[in-house]
Amino acid sequence: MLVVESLSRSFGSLKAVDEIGFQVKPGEIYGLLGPNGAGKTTTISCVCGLLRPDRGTIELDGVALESDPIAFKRRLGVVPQETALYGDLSARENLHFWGGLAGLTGGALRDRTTAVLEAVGLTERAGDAVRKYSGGMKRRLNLAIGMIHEPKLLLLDEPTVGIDIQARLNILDVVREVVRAGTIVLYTTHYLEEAQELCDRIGIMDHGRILAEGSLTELKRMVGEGEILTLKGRFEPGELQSIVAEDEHVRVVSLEEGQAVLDVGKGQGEVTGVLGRILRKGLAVDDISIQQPNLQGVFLKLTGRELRD
Amino acid sequence: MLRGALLLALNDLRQTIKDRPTLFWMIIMPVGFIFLFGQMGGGSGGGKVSLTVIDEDQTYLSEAFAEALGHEGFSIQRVGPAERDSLGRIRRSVTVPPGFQDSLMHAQSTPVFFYVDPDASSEASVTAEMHIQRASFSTLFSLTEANPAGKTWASPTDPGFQQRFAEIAARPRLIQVASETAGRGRPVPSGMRQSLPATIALFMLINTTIYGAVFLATEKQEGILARIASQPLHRVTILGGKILGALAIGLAQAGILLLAGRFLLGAYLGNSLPGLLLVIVCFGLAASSMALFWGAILRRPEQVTATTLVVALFLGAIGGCWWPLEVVPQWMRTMGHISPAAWAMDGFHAIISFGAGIGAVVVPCLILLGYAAVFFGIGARLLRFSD
Ligand SMILES: Nc1ncnc2c1ncn2[C@@H]1O[C@H](COP(=O)(O)OP(=O)(O)O)[C@@H](O)[C@H]1O
Ligand SMILES: [Mg+2]
Repeated sequence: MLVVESLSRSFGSLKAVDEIGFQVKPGEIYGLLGPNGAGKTTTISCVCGLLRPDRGTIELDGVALESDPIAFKRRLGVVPQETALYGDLSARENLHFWGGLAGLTGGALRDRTTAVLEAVGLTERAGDAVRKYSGGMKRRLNLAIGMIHEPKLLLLDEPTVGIDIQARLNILDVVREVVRAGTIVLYTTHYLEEAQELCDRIGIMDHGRILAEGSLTELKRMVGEGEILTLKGRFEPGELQSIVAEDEHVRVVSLEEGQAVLDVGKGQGEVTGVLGRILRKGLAVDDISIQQPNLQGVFLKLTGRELRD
Repeated sequence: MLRGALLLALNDLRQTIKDRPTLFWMIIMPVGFIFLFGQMGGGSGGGKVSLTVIDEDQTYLSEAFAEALGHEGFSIQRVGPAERDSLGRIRRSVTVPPGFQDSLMHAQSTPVFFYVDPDASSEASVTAEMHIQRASFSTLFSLTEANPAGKTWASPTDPGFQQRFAEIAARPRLIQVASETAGRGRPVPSGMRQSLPATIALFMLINTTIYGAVFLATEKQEGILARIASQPLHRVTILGGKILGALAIGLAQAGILLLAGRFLLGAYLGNSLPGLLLVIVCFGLAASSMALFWGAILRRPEQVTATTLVVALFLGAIGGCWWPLEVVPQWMRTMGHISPAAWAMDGFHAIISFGAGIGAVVVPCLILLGYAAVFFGIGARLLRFSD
């Protein structure tokens, strides 16, 4: 079990990670979902011992990172956001090097190299210099290196960024496979669908904080069944505020000049009713969008912003 | 722990070998340097100065004269007039003209001709001239002593005379000129005795610091160093591995140049190979620690290449790798010892040029280890594994 408690890390005055905590069980994928700059990589860097947290504790099966970093790291595999590979070496040479550093030797190292190459579908190109690989192939090798020594805890930091659908599906499959063997997986992404499809539990992260956490259904329930109404146009915040103030079905998520995000309570026809009342008051609205209560909606409700690629 | 460090070091060595320009930077260029700069000071410098004696007289005394030259420390090649033309280009020669013996027997003056090729080391030639004088004197003294005063001189073909002459010639000199070099006025290393150690020091410094520091900067930039840091390795293991990798590059460079210098170019390496190797290892450690230092304080690999190259060339220049420090004013020589290359050159010269043993390199080596400790200390403190 991975236990992270009140983890904080600042860069100067910027609180990149702000008092976050979560737990991940063996055989579970925990997703940290958030936009760029949310603090996902900073969290991963703290958990893999690269960054020293300002506050908080990180424990894997009762072993604190701080008290015994070597023992902790022996059970840890990392797939960093940057594909950190030796371009002049082949995939096989890269795997031998990294596997060797992780503690594998001799026959075990060879067997695991073969196994992970097969898993990520790079067997045929294993002898080619990595420099010649496509982005997707590099990402797959990046994953293979992180799991070559069969770590107890696998950290994946946006492992599918900027690659073709084929490679992406392969990576998701491999991660599912790894989890089935009882690995603890901490997975960061800014792709909603990925979190939705892959993760057992999701922590929604923004500005260094985890705003909400749970399974997809739990998250949806947490923010209610309501729909999200986004209005854009030429209006003052005050105008809209006065219109919706007494409306019991409406909660204002965010409101600024020319843009409002409203959480419209559950029940059939509520959205159209609210919208009708607003438009009848003559508010200058140019653009209307209604968002169903999926993860996108959850994110929008929590942050007032959309999560986009 | 050792295994982790070795894996890191071997990987850096492998990267170096895979890098194409390595062939040029570590082999072609420095071997060319040794050869070219070696020619400036008169070539191999392998022990004795060579002298060809063209004996056109072919008599007992002309042979005795050649023998006396041999006692002066020349490497003598004695040829008759017929063989003269088959020799090709001769660096230095002494021609003993026909009638040499006859003239001496009749107390008449006789010339010998000393010829020096314009390309030969002029310094060695000046010394040679002095030795030729000495050989002339000793031949004359032996001749007069072998012939008792007031009597008619025996014929040089007389066996009794020849025996007396040989005994006298073999006797130790009555006056020995004992010479030793005093502090400042030590001889200037020249030829390959300068160019070989100078090139080893310069290219060890260049290649160790460039490769070592560029690997660090590149790996930091590409997140590889961060990934290494997430492996179950102590920080000191990672630093040790990086130092060891840079050291291996330096030692490979030194090894290539020692072998090429010795077997390809015929350079003379002195009498203490262990002493030479000790200097190389200590200097390699100093250079590797400097690589760690540069890798720690510089960010972009291009910045690292430019900085380390300029600094290495500068340290090489003030440290006596471009010209021997023996030719510069005392203050420059003192200042030059800011450069670790100067200490390495002191160690190399002690063994290659001045025939010293391993004891003579202890002080330079300790100072080089001091450099290594200081730069390692600063570099280890400043190096960040990620940007
Ligand atoms: N080394 C650093 N120095 C200064 N600021 C940093 C550093 N690393 C990250 N940050 C800042 O911390 C915040 C969180 O960054 P990061 O953890 O990389 O977010 P994410 O991975 O979610 O995109 C960002 O505002 C980023 O600019
Ligand atoms: Mg990130």
